Parts: sequence; structure tokens; C-alpha cells
Amino acid sequence: MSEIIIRTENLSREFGAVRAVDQLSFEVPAGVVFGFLGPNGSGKTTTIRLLLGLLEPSAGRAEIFGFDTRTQADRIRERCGALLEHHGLYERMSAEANLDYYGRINHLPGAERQARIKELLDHLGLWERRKEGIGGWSKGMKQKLAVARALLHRPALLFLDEPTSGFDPVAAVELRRDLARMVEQEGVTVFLTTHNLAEAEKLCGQAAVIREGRLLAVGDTDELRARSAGPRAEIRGRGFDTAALQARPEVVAVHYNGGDTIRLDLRPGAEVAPLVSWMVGAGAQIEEVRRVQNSLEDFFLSLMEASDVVG
Amino acid sequence: MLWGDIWTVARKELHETLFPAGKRQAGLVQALGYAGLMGLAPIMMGGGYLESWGALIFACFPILIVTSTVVDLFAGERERHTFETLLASRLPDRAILLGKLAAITVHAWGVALLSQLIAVVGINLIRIAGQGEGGLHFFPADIALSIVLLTLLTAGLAGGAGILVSLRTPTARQASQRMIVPMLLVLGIPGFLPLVLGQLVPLDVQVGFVQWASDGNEIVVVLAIAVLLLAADALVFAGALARFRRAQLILD
Repeated sequence: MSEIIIRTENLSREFGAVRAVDQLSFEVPAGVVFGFLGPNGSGKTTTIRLLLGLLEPSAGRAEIFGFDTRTQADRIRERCGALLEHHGLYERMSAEANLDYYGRINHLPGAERQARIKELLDHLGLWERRKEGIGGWSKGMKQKLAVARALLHRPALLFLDEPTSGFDPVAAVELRRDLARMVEQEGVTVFLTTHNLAEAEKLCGQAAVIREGRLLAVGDTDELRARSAGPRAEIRGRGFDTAALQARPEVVAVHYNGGDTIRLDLRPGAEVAPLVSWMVGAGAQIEEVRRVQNSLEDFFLSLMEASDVVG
Repeated sequence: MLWGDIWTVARKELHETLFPAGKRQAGLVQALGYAGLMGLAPIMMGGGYLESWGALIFACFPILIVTSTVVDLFAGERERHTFETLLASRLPDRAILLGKLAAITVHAWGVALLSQLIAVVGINLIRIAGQGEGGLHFFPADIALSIVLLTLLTAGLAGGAGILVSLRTPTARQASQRMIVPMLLVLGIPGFLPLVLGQLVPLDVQVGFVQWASDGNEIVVVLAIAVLLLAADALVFAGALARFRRAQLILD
């Protein structure tokens, strides 16, 4: 069993009458990308601040690398890299000076610091512009630089809050590839918050979903996907009888807008083949049948709908 | 490693203030211009200025430059969203605080000393141009050393007071407004205290004190002021350290 890097027990934080984080309990094992998902204002940023010791919990506790966030936060921060809600770069300094400052803060020796800065800026395509003040840079370029700053000292745990915000698609793919490589080869653990569920799906081995500070679900992403509604099928053809399909016991919902493709949400355990046979018997002309894998987004949305109903 | 961390922070602050990227030496030119401006009044006083203990008061005024830079240290960083990332780093609390205090003190102290150097150069140039006198005139050693000591301690006090204000203020603008009273206290005291004492202390005591002080005891007075300033510096720094609680510095 892999080592637990982050452990929270009933972690809570109140701001006056508002409970921003409400009894969060979860564990993050070493060497995974852990997605921390939730809508705006759900408590993601507050949780990161609590984990880094930048806020004190109102109740409960959290440990990172076995250190208590309330009393040993300095030991935690030594081992972490962070890209928080804002990029946090000094806009009156050059790209190189920004990285050099954080390299010194992290006690990287001179030659190693320079080599690492070159390696990262080269990799991100920013080396030629390293002497420029970054005030006039695009949001995406600043975000790349902020990612480089978080990675500079090769931390064992990375906190990344919306890291690909402002990235072009190619840069986003490259960052995802880099993170996956770091996790696989260097055993780095990544605590990632994102609104981009497709990104979370590609990157995260485990995920937690919070809303209004409360944990709605946590686990392996495959397991979470499987927890969402039953299987779905996408069928291309003609002559669909949507009313008859809706009446079938294995069908939960029919999505059809009059084109050549119909989407069916099925009950858990439902088989697609007998349904297709029945449709052909009922006069449909079918060209293609595709069983659709549930996505993390489906799971996330179903959780949000369920919590709306409960709320 | 604390000293190394303090140096890292101080170095960055000074570099960012004096040599902002894209503007070359804009910060340095600004500091030089300010020092030059502050050196003008002494130059107009002529050669007598270099012999006068009153130079100690003039030497402290350039420290007002602190008001424009100290607000950037915490409130400005908070406003530009760089503060949270700094707090999330491995830097110890004391290194952040002392590094920033060292930077602001060195900056203000440097400007104060530079203004006096400009005054000395200006006074000498005028003497040479006007009277054709040769030889350079400078402060006597006791006045020069007193200027160095008192401007350092006053810069430290002004910087510390500025940090106390800036530490938990959300924006640089608010910090600037809140800086007015502490700066008036720090820099107004040398100017107004003699006037206030002149009203409160009986005339014969005042005359006796002035006679005693000018009878070769000026340095004793300077040392007494230095001790008071040092105590005030320590008090302000202890206050700033007590207010620097990482878990209470994120205000949004």
C-alpha cells in the first residue's frame, strides 16, 4: 500500500457565519495526480490554504508528509511547490529574475539553479525572452512561468490551482504530459484543482468532489465514473420510435433531436444488444452502435444534480 | 540559513525597487533625484551647514522616501497577488520580515546619506566657484558619524513603522493613507520636540542644557538620542514580529 501524503480529518474552516470548509476527511496517496473538483466558491482554494498552513482550521486537522499543518507548516512548505489562484509573479522583474528569486528561496545552489532555470524556460519556450519584464506578457505566458516556478526545486508535492488557465491547447497537452511523466518517473504527488473536467479525467488517478465546503465523493476516477448513472449507448441510423424506446424498462432517458443519432441512458446492468435487436424488429435501420463510457464530467454533473435535490 | 534567507529577500526587494525590469535604472534615478532635491536646502545654507549639528535634522528628512516604498512591501504585494505565493514558500516568517525591513532601511538610509553627500559636493563647488578657495570641506568626524548613526536608526524606525501599518492593510493606497500619522511621529519628533520642550521647560534649564551640550557634550546628546531610537526600533520590530502571523495575513 502506498504512503499517504495528505490526510485530513474533519477539516473545517469558518469565516464568521460562513463555513467555507466543512468536515473534510480524505487521504491522498503518494505518486498520484489527485483532482480536487468543485464549482466556484466550493472551498477548493480555502482547502489548499489550510493544507499549506496559510490559514488555521476552525476544527479538525490535516497532516502532510506526517506533519501537522497547524504546528509544522514550515516543514510542509519546504517540500511543496505551489501555483495558487493567482500566478504570484513579480511583474516588475524579468522572467529569469522571478525564477532566480524562488531558486534562492529554495536554496538551490548557483550552478544548479541556473541550469534548472534554463532547462525549464527552454522547455516552455520562454528562454529567449528570459530578460524581459513580464508585465506585458500574455496570461498564458505568465501561467507557464508560474508553473516553472512551482516545479523549480523539484518538490515532492505540487499544489496546482487551475494550472492550464490561459494556456493554448498545445501548451495544455504538454503540461499534462509533463505532470504525468513527473508522477510516473519521479513519484511526485500532484494536488490539482480544475474546472476542466476533461483535463481532470486525463490526468487524475484519484479525485474528490466538494460543494459548499462538503465532500460529496472521493476515490479512484475509474471508480467514480462507474458510480455515475448506468451505461449509455449512442446509435446511428434512421426510423427511431422515441416514444416506444422511452417505454422500454432498460431505458432511463432518450436524447434525440431528429438527426441520425440517438443517445440512450440505460439502467445499471442493462444490455445493449437485446435492445438493438428489438429496435431493428420495430423498424429502425441501424448503421452503428457505440457503448459510451461514462465520463468524470457525467459523474460530476450527476453529483451536482443530486446535491441540488438534497439541498 | 536565516541570514541567507534574509539576504535573499532584501536583495530582491532592493533590486526590484532600484532596477525594475523594462525601466532600466528608473528606481535608481528616482532615488538620486530625490536625494538631490533633499540636498538643495543644505547647499543654500552654505559652508556653515557643514559645521552645524543642525545637519542631523536635515539628514533625517530624506527618510520620508520610505512612505512611497514601504507600502509596497506587504500591502502592495497583497494587492498584486504575489504575497500568498511568497507565504506559501519555505521562507521563515523572520526572514520575510527582516529581509523587507533591511531593504527599506538600506534604501532610506542610502538616500539620506546620498543627500548629505550631494550637499557636501554642492557646498564645495559653490565655495570654489565663488571664492576660488582650494581644499575640500567636509563634516567634522563627530557630526559625520552622528549623521551615519542617527539616519540609520531613524530609517529603521520609519521602515518598521511602515511595515507595522502595511502588514495587515489590504491595498497600497490604504497603507499610504495610514502611513501619514506614523511618519509624522517618526520624522516630526526631531523637528517639533525642541519647540515643544521650549514651551514646557523653564528658560534657565534650557540655557543651561544648551551651554552644557555645546561645551563639547554634543556627542553625549547624540548617543542618548541613539539609545532612544534603538529602543524604539526594537519595540517596533517586536510589534511587527508579533503581528506577522502567517495564518492571519491572507485578508481576502
